[in-house]
Amino acid sequence: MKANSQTKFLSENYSALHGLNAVPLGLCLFLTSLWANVVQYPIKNFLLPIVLILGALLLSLVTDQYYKNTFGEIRPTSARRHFYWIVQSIWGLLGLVAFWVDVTLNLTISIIGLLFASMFLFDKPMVSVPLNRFSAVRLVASICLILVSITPMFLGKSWWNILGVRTTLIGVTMFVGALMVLQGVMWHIFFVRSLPLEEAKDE
Amino acid sequence: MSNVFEEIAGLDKLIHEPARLAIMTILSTVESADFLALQRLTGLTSGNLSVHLSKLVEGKLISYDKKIVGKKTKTQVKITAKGQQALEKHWLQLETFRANVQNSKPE
Repeated sequence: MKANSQTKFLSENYSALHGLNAVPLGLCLFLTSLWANVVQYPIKNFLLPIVLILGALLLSLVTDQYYKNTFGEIRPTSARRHFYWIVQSIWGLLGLVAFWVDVTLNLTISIIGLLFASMFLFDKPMVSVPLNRFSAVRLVASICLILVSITPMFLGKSWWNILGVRTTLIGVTMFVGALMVLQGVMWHIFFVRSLPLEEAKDE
Repeated sequence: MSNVFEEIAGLDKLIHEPARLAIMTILSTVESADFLALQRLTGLTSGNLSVHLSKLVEGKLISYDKKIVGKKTKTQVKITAKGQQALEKHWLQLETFRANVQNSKPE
């Protein structure tokens, strides 16, 4: 039996701690950015990114079923569910604005990178604000992302070319995708290890 | 000091048992949880969990709803208003008990 505070933390944030849910989106972001980096411009065929998005959706469903069948399901309180949807909508809108800013304005920093860095810290505030191993991973990811986002300020706008990456936007989104996959896998390991392993045999 | 022992004796044993306290704590933080999630979070065997759930249902501290999804039975468990009140009262009693023990001096 785990400590009462840990049990409470796990139950309150049960589905938020299902790290593998971030893997399909991270993979999709990484592979789509990779495709954008190697494709011939002007782009004539969008089949591959469509396949990648559909694949990510399918993988999301598989991941969801895996968690439901292996770890069961917890329905959060309605207040928490509403809060989650409001937060996700705000991040979605901010993401569109950041993408527009990065594409249209020629800035020396990546706004989308900085936005993802803040998302890593604050999109699941109930999990990421108290300091624990879950939030530590997010904090490290966020710091790495901030550094990557501001590198053009110090190394010049075309420094990504040295790595074979066309633009800062592509480089940053590839990095975000890789971080999402890594963070998701780590959260999953932490989640599994947080659950009590030995079952009580007697009442 | 004797008051402290009276307070211990006055604790609700239905909730005070560690496994049931864990179940009640989990259910107090969520809208509902299924059987598998409760099993994962408490580390209890399905048999033990069933026994504890039955006792809590008997005490009207929780309620559950069984549905057949495909070939499986899915049990959704919820805490009742009475259960929520009993859990809050229990924590208050424990806090009072702790404060009294810290303040009491041996006679």
